[in-house]
Amino acid sequence: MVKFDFTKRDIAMMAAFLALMMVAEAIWILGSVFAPFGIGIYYGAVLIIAAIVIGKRYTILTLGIAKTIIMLLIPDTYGGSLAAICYLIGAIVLESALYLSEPYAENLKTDLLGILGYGIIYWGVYAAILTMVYGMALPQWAIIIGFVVYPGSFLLGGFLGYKLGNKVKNVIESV
Amino acid sequence: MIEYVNSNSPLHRLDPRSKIIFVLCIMAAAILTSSYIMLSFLIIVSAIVWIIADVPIKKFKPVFLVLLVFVLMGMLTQAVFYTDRPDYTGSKTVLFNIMPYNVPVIGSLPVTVEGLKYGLVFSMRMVAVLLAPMIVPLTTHPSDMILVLRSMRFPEWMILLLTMSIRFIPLTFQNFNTIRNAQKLRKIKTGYKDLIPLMETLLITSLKTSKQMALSLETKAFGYSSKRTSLKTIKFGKNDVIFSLFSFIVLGIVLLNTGAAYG
Amino acid sequence: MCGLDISKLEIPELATHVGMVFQNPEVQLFSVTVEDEVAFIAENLNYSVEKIKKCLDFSLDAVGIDDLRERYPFELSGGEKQRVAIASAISVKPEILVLDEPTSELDSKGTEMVLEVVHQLNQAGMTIILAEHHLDEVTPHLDRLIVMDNGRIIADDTPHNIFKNRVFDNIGLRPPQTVEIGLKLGATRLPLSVNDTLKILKNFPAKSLPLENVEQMIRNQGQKIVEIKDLYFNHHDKKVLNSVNLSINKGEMVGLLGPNGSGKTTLALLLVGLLKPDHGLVRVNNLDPQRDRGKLLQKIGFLFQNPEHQLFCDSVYSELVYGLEGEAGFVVDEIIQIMGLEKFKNKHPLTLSRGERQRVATATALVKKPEVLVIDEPTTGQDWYHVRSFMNMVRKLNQEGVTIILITHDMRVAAEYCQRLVVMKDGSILLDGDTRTVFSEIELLSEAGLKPAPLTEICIKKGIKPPFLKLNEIDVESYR
Repeated sequence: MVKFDFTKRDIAMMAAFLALMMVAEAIWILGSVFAPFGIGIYYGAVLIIAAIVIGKRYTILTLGIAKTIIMLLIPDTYGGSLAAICYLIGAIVLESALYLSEPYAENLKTDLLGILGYGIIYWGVYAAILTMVYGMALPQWAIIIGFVVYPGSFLLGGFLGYKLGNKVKNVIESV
Repeated sequence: MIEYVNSNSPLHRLDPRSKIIFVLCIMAAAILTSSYIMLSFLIIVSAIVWIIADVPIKKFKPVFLVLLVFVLMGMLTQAVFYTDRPDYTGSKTVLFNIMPYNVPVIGSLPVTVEGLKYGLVFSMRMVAVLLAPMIVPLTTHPSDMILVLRSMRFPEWMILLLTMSIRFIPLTFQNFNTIRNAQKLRKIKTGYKDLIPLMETLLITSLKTSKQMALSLETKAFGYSSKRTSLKTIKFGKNDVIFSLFSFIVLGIVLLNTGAAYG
Repeated sequence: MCGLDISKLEIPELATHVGMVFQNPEVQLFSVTVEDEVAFIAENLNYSVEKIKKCLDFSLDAVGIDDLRERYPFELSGGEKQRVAIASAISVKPEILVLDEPTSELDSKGTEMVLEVVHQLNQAGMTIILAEHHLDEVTPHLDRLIVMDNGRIIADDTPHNIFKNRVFDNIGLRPPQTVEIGLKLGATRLPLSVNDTLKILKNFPAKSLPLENVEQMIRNQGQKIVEIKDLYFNHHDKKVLNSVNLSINKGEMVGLLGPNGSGKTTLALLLVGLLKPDHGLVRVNNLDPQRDRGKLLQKIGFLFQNPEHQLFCDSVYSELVYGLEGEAGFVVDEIIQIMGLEKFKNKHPLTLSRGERQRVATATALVKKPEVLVIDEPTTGQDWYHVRSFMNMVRKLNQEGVTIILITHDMRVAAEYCQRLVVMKDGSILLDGDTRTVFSEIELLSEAGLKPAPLTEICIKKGIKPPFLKLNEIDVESYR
């Protein structure tokens, strides 16, 4: 059985990260071609920073579950409420990668591998929901572009997050 | 953003769980059917529920505008891509090509009659799938949503995490704006590069607030016992049973008519 | 405490004995309705629903916020938020209520609301422990005063004895102004409130200040540096600024007062071009903040209320260089020296103490050698020593010719440092004049929820015209 071992401080910090993730929804309203790219970088960064700063097992999984619950209530503009699943499955992938690193999320390689996996799964599940559940016709090239844009931007975000996360962690611990 | 609108409509008084059942039924029906008539029926049902919900539609103009853009885009993409599907075997009546000549990989993007027809179905489906779920956050106070989670036996700490995150959102927006303003005051031209230090400051201020919140939580006996009582409770009443039955009937009508109708 | 050994108890178990209220209302509210917030502790303690309802009713009633029950806690005003926090802390009827500077982030009206509640709870028998810097409002209600310095209790006595023994003098704290008046007049019994002072002054004749003793108001007749004409600003269809007309001359030091939500900060943001006016004209140094923002930024500096929000670099040095164009090294080194930041040059700004961060933030504004400096509530939550050193620095800048626009809630700061005051209410200017004149309009001020510092209030009630602003204006000899 999964055992969650979070202090009140961890919970409060995760709440802050969740809020930061939800603020990102504002990027969609801008609705430009670059929105998916921006979202990917931003999410990738926030996820990795959260993992580094909180630094406990199941951080990402918890955030994934919480994010999914919230997204189930706020329908995604494309993909409806069902699209929430991609956050959960993505989180499981990233969590599994980070689970292997000790201490949690401190290894750049596993972080990047995990966030890459997150990006692939995120788009994979999303595209699957669009095409198979809603019956949207998407040409293959569009799906392939998605497989480049999403994992790519998440990876970039993850790298940024790794750099920022360690810096932020130091500052937070020294105040 | 889609957020709670205070009112005392019949919908506001329902148990959130019956509203969730309604949403699930509408979504299932919309996904399973491909009939214009049934999809129109679903959209009309959702629209009626919106009207009953007594929310100022005007306030959600931007939401509907975004919806409209996506519907148009949905129609256009389907008009082009539908007949390109590898498993598509029907006829292909090309109206015109978007690209003047055949572009490698993408092709000449022909708009077909079959595609337009399918695009209409697809867009209607998306409208139904989006319109119904919005009703839940619009008519359910967040604290009642929390009660649903509690009734599903979510651990208390996760419920706290969710309430606190809702509470953190306005604070985060406010901090974001202030920091952005501070940057604009110091630098004449701010660019993408300035977003990174902005995010760093936003993170640090947010996390500092979290630290103080954790301290305050300590003094409020959170985690005192594994059990926690709740002041408010939700009850699945007679009206909820009626509304849920109505939802199932809508689903049933759609299912019965799906086999026979178009698609 | 309460016959309990604290070291053997977990903090949660203490909740039924001790309620705790923190400085910042934002960090103590977790729920999505006021009702849930106040029921939070009782729910955590696993009380029965009946008992929770009782706790809730008791608390809401005791604090007088029954009408807020259904609201979102984060939509409330500062004073309301802090009262919700108090209601939450006392919901399980603790014997002791500990408050950590509960009013430092509030405007005068919010402060009054909160202190009123605390006083009532005390009357009802609750032990109150209040940590405070600003004693003007709270002193009349205190039974006992404990003074701490460097982690040690240096005095523990009745307020009167502590002030009498001048414990405050050497530790950067400031006694209430009424006490300072009493000390100055050599009263045997120190007055702790405005009314006390008035009683004592009965024996003294009401004497007007000899005019030659009043430093002449130097109303700068110099060139206009800020000009606002017929300014309107709306936010989400809500009127924030309503026909504002204001002009400020070069070299003035202007205090901008008003309750929260009266439009002070909005006005300041319009001055620097971060908001766009809906109607009207704004000129700073003859520049349009909208069109010539680039040029204007070289002339105007802005200090936010919370210095954390304007620091975003990795070190103090890079912080100062941020946004500067061309050769900057020389100016930056100079400012670092002036502001005494050499020690922190390579430290991360956000790891510094609050006072240090404020100095860094000020330095970032000074590297451009601005002609106008807008300062938004710089003294919140700081002790007198820090307030004074910051304000003295601002005054020095002003004397060097920088025009200062200071947004503040602190009436003593306004009285002692500003030459001119502009009072805002509901998006319009209610009063505009030199400090003494504005503070004489005690009735108009109270319309805006403001009250002059005790000294000025006493003068007005005593009929001394024009009223005093600073202690050193009291001519002791004339009372002997």
